[in-house]
Amino acid sequence: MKLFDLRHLGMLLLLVVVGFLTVYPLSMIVFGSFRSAAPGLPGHFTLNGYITGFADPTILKALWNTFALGFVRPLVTSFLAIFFCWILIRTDTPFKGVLEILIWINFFIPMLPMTMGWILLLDPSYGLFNQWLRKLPFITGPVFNIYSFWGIVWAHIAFSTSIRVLMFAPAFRNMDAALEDSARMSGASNMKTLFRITFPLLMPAIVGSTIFGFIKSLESFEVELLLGIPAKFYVFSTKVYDLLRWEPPQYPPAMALSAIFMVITIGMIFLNRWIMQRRQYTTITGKGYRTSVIQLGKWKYFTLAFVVLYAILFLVLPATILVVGTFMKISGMFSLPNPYTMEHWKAVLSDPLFVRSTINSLILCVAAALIGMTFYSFISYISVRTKLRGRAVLDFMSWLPWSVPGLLLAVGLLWVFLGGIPVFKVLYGTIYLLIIAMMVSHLPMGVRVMDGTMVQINKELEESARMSGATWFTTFRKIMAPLLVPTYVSTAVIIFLGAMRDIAIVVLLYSPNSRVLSILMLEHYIGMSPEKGMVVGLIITVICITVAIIARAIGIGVGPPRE
Amino acid sequence: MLTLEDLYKEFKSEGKDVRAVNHVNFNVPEGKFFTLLGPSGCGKTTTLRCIAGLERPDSGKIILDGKLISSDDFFLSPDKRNIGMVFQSYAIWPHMDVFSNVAFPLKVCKTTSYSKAEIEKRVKETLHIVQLDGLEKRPATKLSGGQQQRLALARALVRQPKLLLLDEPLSNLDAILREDMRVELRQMQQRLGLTTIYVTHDQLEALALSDTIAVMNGGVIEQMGSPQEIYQRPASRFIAGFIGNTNWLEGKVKKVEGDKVVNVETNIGMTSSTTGHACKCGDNVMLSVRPEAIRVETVRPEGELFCEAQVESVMFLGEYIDCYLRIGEQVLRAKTHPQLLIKAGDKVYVQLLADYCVALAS
Repeated sequence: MKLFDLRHLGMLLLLVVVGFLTVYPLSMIVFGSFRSAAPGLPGHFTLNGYITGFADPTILKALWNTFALGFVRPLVTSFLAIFFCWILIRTDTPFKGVLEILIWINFFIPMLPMTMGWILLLDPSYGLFNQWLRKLPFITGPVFNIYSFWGIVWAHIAFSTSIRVLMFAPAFRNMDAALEDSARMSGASNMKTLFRITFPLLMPAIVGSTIFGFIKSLESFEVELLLGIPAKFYVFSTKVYDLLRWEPPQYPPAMALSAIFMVITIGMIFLNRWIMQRRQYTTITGKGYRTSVIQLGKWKYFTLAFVVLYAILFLVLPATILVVGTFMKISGMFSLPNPYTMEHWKAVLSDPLFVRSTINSLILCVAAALIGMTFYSFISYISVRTKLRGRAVLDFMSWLPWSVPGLLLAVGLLWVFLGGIPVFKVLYGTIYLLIIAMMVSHLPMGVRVMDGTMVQINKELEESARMSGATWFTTFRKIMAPLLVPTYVSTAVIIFLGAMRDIAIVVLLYSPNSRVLSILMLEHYIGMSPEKGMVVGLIITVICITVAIIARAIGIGVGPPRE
Repeated sequence: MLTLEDLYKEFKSEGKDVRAVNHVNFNVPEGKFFTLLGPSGCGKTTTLRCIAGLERPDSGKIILDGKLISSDDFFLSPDKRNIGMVFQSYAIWPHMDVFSNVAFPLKVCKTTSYSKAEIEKRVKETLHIVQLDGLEKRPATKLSGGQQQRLALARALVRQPKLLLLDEPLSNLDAILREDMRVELRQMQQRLGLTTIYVTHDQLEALALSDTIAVMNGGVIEQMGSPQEIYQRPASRFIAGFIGNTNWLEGKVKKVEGDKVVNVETNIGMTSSTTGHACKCGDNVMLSVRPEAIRVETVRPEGELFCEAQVESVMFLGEYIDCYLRIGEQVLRAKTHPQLLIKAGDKVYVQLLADYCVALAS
């Protein structure tokens, strides 16, 4: 590479920008853990953060809780997900199309409103299930307590299972039926084949995504906020949040905790990549395979019933009670003379704060989706399609945000914008900061998805355009861009939905000016009016489901792939 | 029309340097069909891509129609070269219809501005040349393999380039279609008088289509000549073995007659042969004997030099008989006319036709 020309200059600029968005916040977390004061305030270097951090038993307990949850939750949901995948893809259970939607739809529903629904059902004092069960003669106290370790696991099941079904489905789909057929021909029964052939073949895909699921579960925030804190059950994310909400905010131990955590998750990411690289995936590859379904006989009605019951329990029930709860004076109190009212709805919809928050949310979601996807496409093109030097560094940096839970990323960005280069301070508290945070958070996913599509576009399609006389820019405009649009749009929709639901990232970075709907929901619920929080939560849910349905209807590829 | 001077390009592959194009020189006159033939990895595609401008040579010159397009300090980008190229995968743009695919080069042309009517006229003409009339509105993905190939050709021709490059364009077609397209391609090229460079690993294609063949191996052109020359006078063992089938006989030169004919003592007897290089008495040579250069008779003909052989196996292939004949320790593969009634175990009489045998350096 001899010339120091425009292309190399552009690459350098891109590296600086991406580095600013990824390496800088992460290194600021480490930096901040050695500082004595909040970002932006004068302070000195100290190990105080680590000392107080590890001396505090609640902090250590929080770490333990986090890993316990991170272990149990993926385990439970993986088990469910594998079972569902098997039912939907490998058996002749009827009504598969509907069942698939029922499982998938949880992916689009924000977790917080559903959690509110669960609280209405399983709160030890006034949860409906507990109230009804208390009517039985031999029940004296509350049977279910949602404010517990298992309560948290329970509230996660719907969303996590649907994500795992998404992750495991391709492996199930691509299995060559001949591998199982040969097992049957050798004399193995259905069950034996399932355990000795099917499962081992799927292990690489399952193990890989379980570690990834573990990492992702570590960043969970809003459910733990609502269900853990009343029981003084803290996890890493809620503990950091809690420390930063003290008066004065306890930055040193919060930063120390964050730094340790970041090192652990980065280590896990490398472990995951190392494991993935060692495995042989050759058994589950494409050419000339054929899938067949297992005939279950009358058992297929059991599997059908199982999925339907799951959907009723985890989807219909909490959703219904949530809707009903928004129309009640005090949600859950059916014993009042006139329990139903429209007052909460009216209060929310006429509140100027609500209008402002909705506008902010829409700005955030659309900007993050469009600016983000354009940026990711650019990075992906440079990585996949050019031979410029520095691509490996670019690729590495684009993985980094995945190693950091959302809340932690926000902490890092706090330090970048408050405690770093002074010129950026002006962005603090604005919607622009939120947009930047969202873009950083979704960077790894966006670039990976674009990579996948770009790799599939044969290089010769571009080369033939060049040979036909088109410049690089015209080639991109007329050939690459149209072929990338479907992926661009479907991923943009996913980002839109993710940004709409997000709480962990925005909760530390917002200000009264940049309040979004998800924060409004939280403020109402934790503040004086949980019913208004439920209303806002329901509105967010409806927006998400509507966008997902419209996207699917006009052919954008979100949701289960159509066969 | 096209001249390559001392072209050189190397790649780094797994830590080692691979000399993909190792000081290649050739010249293609206007209107001629020139083929780069060789096994995978010999450098033929890299050479083609250097001519196209999709790869930048490390050193050497490329001159097209009298103008320098590539040298150590000058590189004309591919979109400015006005060279038509057909890719191995055809590279038809799936999101456009047939018309748009062919019209694209005219629409993006920077040097001439074509009016809408002009574009339509040219596209229709070009589609007619490749026999795709009437399919303008068809989405490109809804074409058969053969049609896609014609479409790729049309797109390459629409700007009436001075040079056409073809990168193994027939390899993705089935056997019958391949044969048909071979004929069509050659006829079209001759009709248009278009200078063409063709890359392939299929020696049959190369023999059938070309005015000149350059056989490449390991980045170097081992031999360049007409199809007859390459086939009948291969310059090396590699070429003799790569083009068509051949039998190898070890031998020693016993007598030299002029500079073209030698008498060689082989393990099946004395035979006359042509030679591809300068020999003297006593040289060790390898005799390349094409299967069709072996005369097989069931009855020993009077007065001519034949030796006995035993038939090991026979395959009837419709157009000819493919058989393996054993003479002592040597097994020869021969092609005979289909009426010859022989079966495994028969005794036959074999003669080598001198004009079709080539003695090569051992």
